[in-house]
Amino acid sequence: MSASGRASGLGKFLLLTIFLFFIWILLSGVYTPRRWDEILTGLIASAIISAFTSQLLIKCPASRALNPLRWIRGIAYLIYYFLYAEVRAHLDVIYRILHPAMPIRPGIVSVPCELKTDFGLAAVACSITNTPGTVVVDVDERERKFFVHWINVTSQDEQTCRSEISKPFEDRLRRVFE
Amino acid sequence: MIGIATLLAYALLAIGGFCAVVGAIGLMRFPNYFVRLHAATVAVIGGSVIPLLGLAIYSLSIPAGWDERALYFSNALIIAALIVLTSPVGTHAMARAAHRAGVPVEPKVCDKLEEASR
Amino acid sequence: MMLTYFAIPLVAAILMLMYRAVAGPTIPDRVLAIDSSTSLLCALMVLFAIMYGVYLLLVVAVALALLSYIGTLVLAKYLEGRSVGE
Repeated sequence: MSASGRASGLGKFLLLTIFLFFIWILLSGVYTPRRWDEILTGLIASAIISAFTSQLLIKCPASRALNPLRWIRGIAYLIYYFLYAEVRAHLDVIYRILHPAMPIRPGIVSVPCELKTDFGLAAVACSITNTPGTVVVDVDERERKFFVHWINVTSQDEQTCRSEISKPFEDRLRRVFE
Repeated sequence: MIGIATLLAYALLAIGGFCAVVGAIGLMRFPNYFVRLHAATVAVIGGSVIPLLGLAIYSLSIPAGWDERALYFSNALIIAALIVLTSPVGTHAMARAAHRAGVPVEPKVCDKLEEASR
Repeated sequence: MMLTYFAIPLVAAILMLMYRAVAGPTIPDRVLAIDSSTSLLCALMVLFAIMYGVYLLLVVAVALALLSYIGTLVLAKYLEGRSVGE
């Protein structure tokens, strides 16, 4: 293994160790060094797990995954997603459930997606599925297309569906993952 | 005396309970499996993630030591994050399997997936 | 205690979901109802843990959140190859 490859492997190892140790701290609820034995156990366990799995779990170089600009954009996306997109979709679906006449027009439409990386595709699919009103039923990985079950089909045209369903998520996630 | 954080926690818990009941009503009213998925998303995201966030805020003001408060706070947040991360994957896997197994999509406006796989 | 009143809508929602789990015409309906009620049960467990001061319930809630996801995935893989009839 070359020197740069070894440095990259060390970066991945440290990144995963810190992440797992953070989760251990949150789960065990030990924040004071008074109970140092639990903290030491967590550090050793996360180091052993990360030594075996860091090459499998982190695919891109560690310097790219650590870029702070991406993290800031990701947090901004999370704030937009939970405070605006989720609230709007919830109010829409709650209105459709409680209306006595049940105004639904369900159907499966196809939505193209332009993101290149697998992480980006998965993030867009999870965002679409997690908002009520749209569920990804199938993914065509060769043509980069989602088949989305939509509760209120207003148009069957691909580009119109894209601007209605996945465009706001895609534009923000492209700057996080690519 | 009730603080602002406790009032916020009560508001989040009330919103979550409303979303849970509405999602369950939708699961009983809607006509087929694929439409019921949307009501189930309301019940999962609105009905359990929002109360968990409210409980995380509430646990900061319970009469206990700081160690115990931090334990409740961080565990509630971790369970909320687990549900947000895992529920779309399970929903998508189940919807895909149901469509391949031939669960009816009626009533429908269009079905592009059936046209594409034919 | 105020938290008791917030447990009532969650329990009512779980009972309504159990109706769909018993009556649902196809297998995916039942799986969907049980999956949703499991995540509601996680929220209910954390509520009871804070209400009674039993922090061991938190561990059970974390395990339940992970196990329901794995169960749904296994059932989806199992259903993918066969047709769902009445």
